[in-house]
Amino acid sequence: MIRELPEVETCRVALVGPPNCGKTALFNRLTGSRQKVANYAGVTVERKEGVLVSPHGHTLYRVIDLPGAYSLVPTTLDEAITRDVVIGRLRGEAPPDLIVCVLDATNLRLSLRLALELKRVGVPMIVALNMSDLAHRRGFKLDRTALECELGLPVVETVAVRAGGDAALVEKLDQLSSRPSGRSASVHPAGERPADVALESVSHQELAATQREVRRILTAARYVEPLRDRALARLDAIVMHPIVGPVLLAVLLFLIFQAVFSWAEVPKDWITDGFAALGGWLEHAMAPGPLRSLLIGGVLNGAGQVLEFLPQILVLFFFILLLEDSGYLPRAAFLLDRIMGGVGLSGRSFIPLLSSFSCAIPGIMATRTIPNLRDRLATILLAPIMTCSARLPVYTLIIGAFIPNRSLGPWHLFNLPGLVLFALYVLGVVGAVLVAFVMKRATMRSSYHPLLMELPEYHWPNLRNLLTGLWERTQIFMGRVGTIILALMVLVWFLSSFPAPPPGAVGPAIRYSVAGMLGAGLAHLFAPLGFNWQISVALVPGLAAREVVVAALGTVYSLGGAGGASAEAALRPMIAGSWSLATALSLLTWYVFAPQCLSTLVTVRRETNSWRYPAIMAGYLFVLAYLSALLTYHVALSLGGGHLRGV
Amino acid sequence: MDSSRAWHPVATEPNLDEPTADESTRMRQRSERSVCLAQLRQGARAYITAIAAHGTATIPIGDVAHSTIARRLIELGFVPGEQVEIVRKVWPGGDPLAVRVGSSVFALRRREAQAVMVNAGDAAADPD
Repeated sequence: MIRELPEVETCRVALVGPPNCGKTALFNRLTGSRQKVANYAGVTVERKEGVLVSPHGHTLYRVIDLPGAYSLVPTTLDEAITRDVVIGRLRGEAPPDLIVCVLDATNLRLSLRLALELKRVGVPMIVALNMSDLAHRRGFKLDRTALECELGLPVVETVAVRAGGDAALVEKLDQLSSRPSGRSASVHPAGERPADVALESVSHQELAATQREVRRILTAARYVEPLRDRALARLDAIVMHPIVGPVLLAVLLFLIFQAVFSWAEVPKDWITDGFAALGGWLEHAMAPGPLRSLLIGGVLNGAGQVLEFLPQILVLFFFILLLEDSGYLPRAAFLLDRIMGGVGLSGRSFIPLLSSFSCAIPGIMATRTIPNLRDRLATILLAPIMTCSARLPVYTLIIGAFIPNRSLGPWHLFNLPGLVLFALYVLGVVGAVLVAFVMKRATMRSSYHPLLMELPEYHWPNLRNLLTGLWERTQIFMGRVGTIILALMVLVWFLSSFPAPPPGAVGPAIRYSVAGMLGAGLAHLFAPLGFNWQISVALVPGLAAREVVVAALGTVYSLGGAGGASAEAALRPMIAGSWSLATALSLLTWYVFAPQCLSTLVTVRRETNSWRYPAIMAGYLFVLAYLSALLTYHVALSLGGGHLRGV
Repeated sequence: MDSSRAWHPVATEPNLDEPTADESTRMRQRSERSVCLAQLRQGARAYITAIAAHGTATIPIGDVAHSTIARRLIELGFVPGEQVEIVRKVWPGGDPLAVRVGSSVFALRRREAQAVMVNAGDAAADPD
């Protein structure tokens, strides 16, 4: 953090502009790595602030990157935040001393209206024509001085993606902030903010008149509109083709899905192995006792869990940022809007839901690309029903123990365990569709959100912006989610280890711990589902993460501390001998919906800024899991699946 | 959030600005019949004659409902006199559809597109 010296003046600058104008790139250019990402108080909208010290002046600029807005009459929460900050109405947020209105030079006809609207707010303002290099290459012409005269505002050209492309803007900022009349005159007395320009009472006729004014100004400034790139228009003909478009999208999604699974798997294994090695070393280096157990079972386990998510998050976000930056994402949303709209979601929900098949956490973080709050919450609530990869170890164990490895169908094309696994994935999707439909019926009536989505020109993604974006995600995940996950892991370890069994006790140690007692209590609750006390006890440490259940079952069945594959191999005959088929199927169904993963709930808390949504999520998932497992158990019983197969 | 209370509607005088002479001539020449944007074929071009001030156009938008479909359409440049082009209709029924106005392309659902009235000109409309 830069220490504020007394002679340095601070000036708050807000970057305002429509979406897709390269505003965030300009923000990155201005502030470099001196950024801080947080949320606005009480809402899910991201707040980005950075520091810029001008090379000439003695001014320290606090630059805020406001969410993109087409208008000061908001249609989304993002736009509402932008308006509230601009007019100084957001609690805990000082009004800006200066506004930089960032416009896309390649598309002034769309964006200049916002500059006129912002001018009415009355805060000193600079208009920055961004992406001016691209515009000039496409035949853009403009008499900048004439535009300054018409607008009565300083106008500069910027190229956010080039080093030094912000020089003209910084110079103008220095001029404006050092001018004595400039800044001090802008400070309105309290209660007399320029906020009272009632923009939403402006009639449609007046709005249309403003648009005509925009065209008049552009004519007066001898504006020659840059041409859209023909090649890019042809690309659109392919990307949005009724047949080729969806196929291309499917291929892309498949590649991303593959990458999240396979590319992330390698560093994930390194992390797992690294932590296992560290644990092994500790096991030798330290005397046995509660401290060693805490370090290995609680802290290392927890930190490993946190870090294991990171490769998936980074790989997924690499692709999402790439697609977003290039302009493809809105087109994908366009193609999918019809399908997703059928269950009350928007096309943009698709990528977060798809990535939830690998893990709900990156999926939930990816919902940030959904501008509408209701759509975003619905997507977040659906994400954990998608069958994440952490369920696979549980599925594999139970299917391996109970489902005979038989081939079925013509030419023995199908394999029974494979079919069961597939059915479990389908059950997850069907469940999600049903829940989405219920949510739509329950909440959609109040408001309709139109698509009205810009399909911006394609751009080459900018590496610098990509890396900045990835770094932001890493910080958010490690800093705010990671610490809570770690703490919860340690808590679960405590619950499973204390109190220690009395001397001479028989049976697994976990049975005497708090988790064991909880499990024994839970056994009553879960008895109608056919779960025995061993399963119920294993469910408690399984709260940490779903795959932990396998190891926990190993512990409960006194197989010692061996984790991973060896535990699974030993467990298989054990559970095959002590559970009925009905119990196994019931547990499988339970895992399709069960709210078992604390990390997911913590992420939802972080992303929605309240415990309300994690509570709703845990509640509805529990009910859904309980009812479907109950149904499965009793249907299986009535079909004769209640017998033990014998050891 | 109390942002809904942040704005106090002040009565403003309606400014019934008529289209310029140039625009109205252009409109008169071409306005044999007015249809809504959703009825145009893929690739068709037409001039906007009006943004409906009733029906779907007045549906408030979103969670912070201050705006309406009609208002947002005008803000995005759907103003009388502008040329529009149907870039893409993917699904039968054309929902959503990609529309070019000025130098921007927007994705609109049928519901939004119904608020934009255009003169069909020589671009024949879809039967639906």
